[in-house]
Amino acid sequence: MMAARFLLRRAVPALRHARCYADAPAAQMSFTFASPTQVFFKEANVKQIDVPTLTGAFGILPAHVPTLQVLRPGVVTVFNDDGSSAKYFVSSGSVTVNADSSVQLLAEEAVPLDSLDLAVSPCYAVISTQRIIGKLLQAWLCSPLFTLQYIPDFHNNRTQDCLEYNRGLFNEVKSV
Amino acid sequence: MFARTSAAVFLPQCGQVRSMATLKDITLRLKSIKNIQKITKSMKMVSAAKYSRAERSLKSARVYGTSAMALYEKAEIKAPEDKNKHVIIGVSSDRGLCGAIHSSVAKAIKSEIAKLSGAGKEVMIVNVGDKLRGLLYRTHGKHILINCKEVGRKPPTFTDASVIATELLDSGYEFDQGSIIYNRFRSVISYKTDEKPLFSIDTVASSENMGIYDDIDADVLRNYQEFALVNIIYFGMKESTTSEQSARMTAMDGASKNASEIIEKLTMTFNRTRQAVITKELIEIISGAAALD
Repeated sequence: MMAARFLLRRAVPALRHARCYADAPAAQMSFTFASPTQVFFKEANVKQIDVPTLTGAFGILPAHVPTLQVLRPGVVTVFNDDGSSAKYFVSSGSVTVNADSSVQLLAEEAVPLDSLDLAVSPCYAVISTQRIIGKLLQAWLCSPLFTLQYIPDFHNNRTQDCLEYNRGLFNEVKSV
Repeated sequence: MFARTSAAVFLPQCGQVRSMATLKDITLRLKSIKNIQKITKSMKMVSAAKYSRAERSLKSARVYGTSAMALYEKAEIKAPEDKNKHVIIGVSSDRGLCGAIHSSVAKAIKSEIAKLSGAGKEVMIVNVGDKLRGLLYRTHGKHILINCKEVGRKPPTFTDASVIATELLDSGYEFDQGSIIYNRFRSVISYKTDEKPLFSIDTVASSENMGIYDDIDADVLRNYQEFALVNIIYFGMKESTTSEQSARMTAMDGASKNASEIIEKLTMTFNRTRQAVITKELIEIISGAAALD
C-alpha cells in the first residue's frame, strides 16, 4: 500500500492503471494554462498533462510531486476528464506543480495544433518567439528544405546545429 | 494643470479694482477655451478606445500574471531580513494628463526608499516611463539604476517586459530582493497603487519551502526565475496601462466639463458686456440728441 502510494505520487503515465486503488487521490488538479495574450485553461480539472521540458518530457497527474520546470519547444497534450485530448504547440515557458496539486503552465507563445496548417505547407512558420534574456529558446520551425535559424542553448548561449533537432521536432509534431 | 493654463490667458480678478474686460478680450478667451474643450473631448475618446483595448487584453494578462506569482505565494517565499540590496521597479509611462498616476507611484517609491534607507539597506530604482524619471531624479537621482523611455505609446508586449528584465539582470546590480510598484486597475473610475515582491535566485533557492519541490537544479531554477521576473514585469505594465488610460479618460472628461462651465459663464459675461456696450452707445446718442434740443 505504501509502495502504491509512492508510485502514485511519482505519477508516471504508464502507471495510470494503478489509480484504480481505493486510495486514489481525491485531490483534483487545478490546471491553469496561459500565454501572455490568451488563456487556454483556468483552474480547470483535467486528468493529465504531457509537457516537454528541458530535462525531458513528462506527464503530470493530480498529486504529482511538486516541481518547477522550464519548457522547451514542443507539444503540450492536455487530457480532459472525458477522455478527449487537446494539443498545443508551445515555444517556451515554465511549469509549476505545487503541493496542493495546482499546476500553472505559462507559455511564452502557444497555439493549438489545429491552427497550424501542416497539409498546405510543410513549413509552419510558427510564431517567432522572442529571446528572453538570451536564455529562452527562439524557435523558427521550417521544413528541412529551408535553412533554419538557430536555437540558442538555453542557459549556455551556445548555438546548436539545429537542422537535426528541428527535423526531429518537425516529425514529432507531425506524428502527434 | 488645466486651471493653470487658463489663468495664463486671463488675469485673475484682484479684488474690486478690475477694469471692464473689453468684448475683444472675452471673445479671445472664449475661442481659446472652446478649442481646449475640443481637444480634451477628443483625448477622452482616444483614451476610451485605448482603454477598452487594454482592458480586454488585461483579462488574459491577469490570469497569466497571477499564475506567475502563484509559486511565491504557495511556497510562502520570504526574503530573509538581513539582506541588504533592494531594487524597486516603478511602472508608469511617458505621457501626462492622466490624473495622479505618476505621482502616486513616485510617492510610493519615495516612501519605500525612506523606509529602506532608514533601515540601512541599499536601494536602486528602475524607472519604466519618463515621467517617473522627471519626478524622482532631483531628489533621488543617485538611486536610479535604469530609465526606460517610449513607454505608453503602444500597448506593452511581452517583448518590452523581457527587454527591461534583461537590462536589469545585465546591469550588474546583484539585488537580493525587490518590489514592483504599479497601479492596479480596479474599475473605470478607480485604481490603486500596489506593490508586488520580487525575489532573487539565491533567495528562492535558499528558502525553506523550496525543499518540497522536486528535481530542481540550479540552471532550471535560474531560467525559471528569469522567466518569472519577465512575467511579473509584464503583468505590472499591463495593469499600469489600463489604469493610465482609464485615469486619462476620467481626467479629460472632467476637463471638458470644466471647460463647458467656463464657456457658459463667459458667454453670459460676453452677452452682458455686449448689451452694456449697446446701452452705453444708445445713452450717448440720446443724451447727445437731447442736448441739441
